[in-house]
Amino acid sequence: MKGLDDLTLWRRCRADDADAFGELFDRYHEIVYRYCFRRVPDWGLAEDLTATVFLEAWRKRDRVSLEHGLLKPWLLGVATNVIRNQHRSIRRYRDVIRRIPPLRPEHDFVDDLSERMDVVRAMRRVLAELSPLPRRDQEVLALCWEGLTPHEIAVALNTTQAAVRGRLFRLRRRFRAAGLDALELLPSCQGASS
Amino acid sequence: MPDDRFYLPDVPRLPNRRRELLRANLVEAAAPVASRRPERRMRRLLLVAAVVAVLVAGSAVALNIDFLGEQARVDARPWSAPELARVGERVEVARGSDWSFMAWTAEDATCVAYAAGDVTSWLRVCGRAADDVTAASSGSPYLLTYGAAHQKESVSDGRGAVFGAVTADVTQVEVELADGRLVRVETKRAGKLDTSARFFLIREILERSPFPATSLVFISSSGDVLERFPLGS
Repeated sequence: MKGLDDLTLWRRCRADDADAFGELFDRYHEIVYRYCFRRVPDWGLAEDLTATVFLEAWRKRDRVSLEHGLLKPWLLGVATNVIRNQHRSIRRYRDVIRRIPPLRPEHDFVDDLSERMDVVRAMRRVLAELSPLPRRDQEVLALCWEGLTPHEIAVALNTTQAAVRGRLFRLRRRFRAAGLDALELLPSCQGASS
Repeated sequence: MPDDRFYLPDVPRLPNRRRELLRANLVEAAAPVASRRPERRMRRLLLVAAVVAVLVAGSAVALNIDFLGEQARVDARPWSAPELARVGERVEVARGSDWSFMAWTAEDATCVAYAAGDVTSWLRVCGRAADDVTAASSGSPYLLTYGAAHQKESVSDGRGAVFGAVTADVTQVEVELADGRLVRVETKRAGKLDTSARFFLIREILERSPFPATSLVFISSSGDVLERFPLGS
């Protein structure tokens, strides 16, 4: 299973292969978890959302035939939708999610609790500063943080590359007008015109 | 100079144990029902019919050990808290040949005890009375009291217990054990007691952690989840 490319892995998932689904989780849980956490800086909620993302991906597997190289952006697109509708999404999979014991910081994170709290505070500060931005812009930005190209962001958000590039252009202009370092905030969006 | 307001922190990874647990639950959810191994099925929600049968009030079970008598002797000891003095009877809500789950009320309290192996090995816990709503703000509106006992070699079936008392609207309790298992059980009245409280007990092999259960989920007669109460919080 480890040596399979994403396309073959996804085909196996579509053939109801639970082991392939486990491999899918192994490959992408980290990026999904990080993306979820950066959108909702809460460890427990990020974990629930991560579980929900993979369950949604599994539920939709019959309806989605992915081109090569697009599994990651598609999963982050699922994550974006799950976050938008988080209460409904989590409720749907409540029975599965409830089986995961709640986070106990004193047991699970005891060695780095203060660092984790710093991360939560820092992330909340960032999101508070970005909150005046339209929701779509925030989503583009968050996907940019995960290293997606404009093409991949377009796949994730089910929109066109031109629309994504337009948003990135306006974001850069806005950050510059506010005296901010646009490169700092849009570190990996290759191909966005300045 | 970078603007501190936009410092994007590195996000620590999911701890290995939680990642493994998450993965295991997801793969189990994805596996077709027919292909699930019996031990996987056992890890799904269990309705513990055996415990339900034992919880039926008035069932005639051969009594080999006088657990009730021992608790009465405990009452008489000088260090027993006077405010928890028993009012009315103490009853056995459930029992086996070498274990007993008992309940009684005090003036403003609901009390339970679990004894297993021998009469001297017991645990008592008391909480608020079932109709005392003023105390609910400090904790759960449904949970009156709870306790847990790890398994002992002296117990014939080698099982530990998680037990407690809840308010009348809770008809099932789902116990989330520290090892990730879920065990659901019906609650029962203790017929002879003058209280609306209901009682629950699960007996399982429990993980040796500081507390063998991580949360209790209270479920109404219509199947709605009333509350998920984290333990140790």
